[in-house]
Amino acid sequence: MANENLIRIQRISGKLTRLFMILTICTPMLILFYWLFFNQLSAGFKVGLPVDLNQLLPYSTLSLAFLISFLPGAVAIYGLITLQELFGLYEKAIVFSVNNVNCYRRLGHTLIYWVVAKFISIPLLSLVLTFNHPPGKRTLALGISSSEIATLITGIIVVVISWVMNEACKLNDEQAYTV
Amino acid sequence: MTIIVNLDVMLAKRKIKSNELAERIGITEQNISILKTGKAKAIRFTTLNAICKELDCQPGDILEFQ
Repeated sequence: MANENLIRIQRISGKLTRLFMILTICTPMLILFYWLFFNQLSAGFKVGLPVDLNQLLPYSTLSLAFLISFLPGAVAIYGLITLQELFGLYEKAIVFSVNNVNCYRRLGHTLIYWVVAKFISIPLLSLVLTFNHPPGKRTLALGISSSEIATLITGIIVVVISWVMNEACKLNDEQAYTV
Repeated sequence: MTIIVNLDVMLAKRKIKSNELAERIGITEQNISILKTGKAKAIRFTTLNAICKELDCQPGDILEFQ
């Protein structure tokens, strides 16, 4: 029964590893294409932005916006690489090792860094996107939403889970050296 | 001050090879190696019982506090 469970973990983890690999490659490309074709996108794609935009933006502004968007993007890519590594370990049936603990800790930190990156990128993005507006029409958006607070709490929970996993790792080690 | 495992001494006295003992008491050679190299963190009473029975010795002949 335990073996069946491990086989299931390995099978699903293999698929997830490949999925995260694809997402790791796609994420920077999506960010790049989003800003590259920003002027051609319909209004629905611009809902998530911190400011309302109705006019076309010059490529210099779009380049800066791309760089700023890449701040949380890079954190997301780091998280995806970590997930890839974690599920890669699970695929090899390594479930309680120091590397697993490190992956969990890094994932927790990634979620916390993501909130920080979002908090920094929103005002920067609003400033860059409205920089060409006439004086008085430029916007500096600042804020934190409930989803960011939830992500922050999740990040802290994952860090605590990594500490628990470290204890599990010690138990596993003790079990392995019990003759 | 640590617990020393004198299994290799007892094996030499009884002229028994590690793999032979492993086979006789039903544990892996890797586990015997863990015991001999002092890497073991714990030893089960069942394992100790089986070793003592097979080598005709006392637990004190295998384990020593130094």
